[in-house]
Amino acid sequence: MATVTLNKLGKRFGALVALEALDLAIEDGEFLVLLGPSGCGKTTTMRMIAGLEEPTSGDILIDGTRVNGIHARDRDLAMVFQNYALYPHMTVGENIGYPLKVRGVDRAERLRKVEAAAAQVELSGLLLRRPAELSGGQRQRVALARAIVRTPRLFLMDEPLSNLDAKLRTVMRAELKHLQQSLGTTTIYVTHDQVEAMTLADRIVVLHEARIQQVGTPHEVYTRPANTFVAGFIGSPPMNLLAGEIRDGAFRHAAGTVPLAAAPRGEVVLGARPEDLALAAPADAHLTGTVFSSELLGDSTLVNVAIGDGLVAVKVGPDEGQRVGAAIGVRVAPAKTHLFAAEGGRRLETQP
Amino acid sequence: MLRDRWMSFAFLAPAVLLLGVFLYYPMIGTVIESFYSTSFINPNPAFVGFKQYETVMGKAEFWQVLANSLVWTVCVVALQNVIGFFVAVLLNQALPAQGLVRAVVLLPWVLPGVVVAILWRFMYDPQLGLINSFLISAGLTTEGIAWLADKTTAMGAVILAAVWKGFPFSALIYLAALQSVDREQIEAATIDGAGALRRLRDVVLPAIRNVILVNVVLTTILTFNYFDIVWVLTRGGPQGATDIFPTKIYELGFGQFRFGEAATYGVASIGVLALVAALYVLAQRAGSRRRRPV
Repeated sequence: MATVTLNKLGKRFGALVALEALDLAIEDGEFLVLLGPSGCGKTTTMRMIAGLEEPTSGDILIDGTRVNGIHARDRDLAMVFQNYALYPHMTVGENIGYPLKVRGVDRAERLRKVEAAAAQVELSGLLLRRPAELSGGQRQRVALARAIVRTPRLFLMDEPLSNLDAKLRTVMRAELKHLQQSLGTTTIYVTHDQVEAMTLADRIVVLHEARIQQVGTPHEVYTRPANTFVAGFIGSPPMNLLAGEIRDGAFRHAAGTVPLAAAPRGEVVLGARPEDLALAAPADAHLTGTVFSSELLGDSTLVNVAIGDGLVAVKVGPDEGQRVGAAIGVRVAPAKTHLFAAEGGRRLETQP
Repeated sequence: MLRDRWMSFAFLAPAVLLLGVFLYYPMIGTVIESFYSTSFINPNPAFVGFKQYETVMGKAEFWQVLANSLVWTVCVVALQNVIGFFVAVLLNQALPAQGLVRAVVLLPWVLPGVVVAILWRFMYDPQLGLINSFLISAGLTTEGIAWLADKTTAMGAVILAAVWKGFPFSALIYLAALQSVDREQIEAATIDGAGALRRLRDVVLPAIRNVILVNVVLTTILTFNYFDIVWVLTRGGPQGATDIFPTKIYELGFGQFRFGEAATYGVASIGVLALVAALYVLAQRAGSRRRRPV
C-alpha cells in the first residue's frame, strides 16, 4: 500500500535526455500503466522508482518520503522483469523464497509463505522444479510469486507479458488484473502494447520523447486523446488523421468536405476512429477514394481506402468486404470527430 | 550407407593420424620406455619390468618432486584464479580508460615465459634486485636476501613469478564470464534485498560455475606441466627445492641421459594428472545437487 509522487523527475545519460522533468502522482492501490514506444523513457522512469538508476534531477517520494539515494532493497518494493530474471540454479521454491531468505526469515516461515504465494498463482506442486523445466507461462508465475511473497507496498512490472505467446498473454493479463485487485497493491506497469495498457490500467500515462503526452483513464485517453501522437498510438487500428483546412463551417480536404459546426478556422488535423466511419456510395459520401485493401478480421472487416496520398481505415461489418480498386466513399459522423492543431498536434477543444 | 562409412573414415583419418603420430606414439613409447633400463653408458635397452619404478619410488628424491609439484600446482592455481577473479571483478566495473587498463593488466600474460623468468631473476637478485633494494631502503633488512638460492624462499619466489605471469589469463576468462551474467538477475537480486557480496555468492558465482571449473582444470594442467619459468629461475634447485616433474624429467633425460628413469617419472606425472581429470568429472557431476523446496 503506497502512494508514489514524482516531482520534476529527470534523467540524462550524457547528452541524451531519457526523461524530461516528469510530474506524476500515483494513488494508493492504483494500477498505473506507463505506455509509449521504445525509447520514450518509460523503463527509465520505472528503474528510477525501483532504485536501479539514480535520477539526475527531481525527486521520488514513496508514501511522502523522499527515496532518492535510498538503496533499492530499502524501498520495500518488488519488480517483475521482462525476462523474469529467475535464478536458474535455484528451484522454484528457492526462487520465490529468495527475498525472504535474504531478509533473514527462518526456513519454516519461508516455506509457509512460499507455499501460500505459489498457491495464489497456481504453482503448487512445482516447487522442486528448476526454471529450465517450466513453460513460459509458469516462469511468469514464478516471477509473480516472488514479487508477492513478501507483500511489498509497491509492484513494478517491466513488460512482464511480452515474452508470452498471444493466447497465453490474454490469460495472464486477466490473472494479473485479478491478482492486483485482490491484493490491492499499488502497481506501476510498463508496456509498449496499447491493448495491455487499455485492459489493465486504472490510469494510463502516455510517454513520448521523454515527456508525458497525456495522463488519464483508458476511456479518457481513448475518447479524448490530447494530441495527434496519442490519437495515433492508442487504438487498434489507430485513429485516422487527415490534414486539411476549415473554411465556411466545413473541413476541406482534396478528397472531399466534412461539414463541421462551431469549428475554428484555419489549418487543422481531423481525427476519426475507424469504427466511427462508414462506407457509402461516392455520391453520398464526405470523402471519396478507391479501395486499397479489405481485411476480414472475423467480427468485422477493415477496409483501407486510398484518399489523397494517404490511407483511411474504416471498420465495417464482417459481410461488408469490398473489391480492391473499386471507387468508394467514406461518411464521417461529425459528432465523433476530433480536431488537432496543424502545428504541434495539440487537441482543439471546440468539438463537443 | 557403405559409401558414407568410408567417407567418414576418410575425413577422420588426418585427425587420427596426427593424434596417433604426435600424441599416442610418444605417450605409449614413454610407458614402454619406463619398463626398460637405458642410459648413456648402457645404450642397449634391457627389459627390467617394474624394477625401475621400485628404484625411483624408493628414493626420497621422487617423493620430494611429487610434494614440490603438488605445492607448486596448488599454490599457483589457487593464487592465479583468486587474483584473476578479483581483477576481473574490478575490470568489469565502469573504469576511466577501460580499454587501456584492460590491456595493461593483460601484459604479463603475453610475455614469453623465458622473458618473465629473466625479468624476475633480476628482481630477486641479491645485489641488484629491485625487491632487495626496496627492502633495504625500507629498513626491513640490512643485506640482500638470495631469494632463489635459499631453500626456504625459492619455491615461494618461483610461485610468485608464475602467478604474476598467469593471473591475467584467468582474469580475461573470468571477465568474459562475468559479462555474460544476466543483468536482470543481478538487478532482481538487488531489489530482493541482496548486497554486493550476497549477489556474488547467490547469483554471479553459480552462473559462472562451469567457467570456474574449466579454468581451474586448465590452469592446473598447464601449471603442473610448467617448465620454462622454473627452469630459467632455479633449474629445480637449490638442492631440489623447486624440482617439479617437468624439470626433473628434463634433467634426468637430457641432462644425465637416464631415459628409463625419465620415462618412469613421466608415467608417474601422467598418473597424477589422470587423478585431476577424474576429480574434474566428479566436480561437474556434483552440479546436480539436492533440490530444496525453499
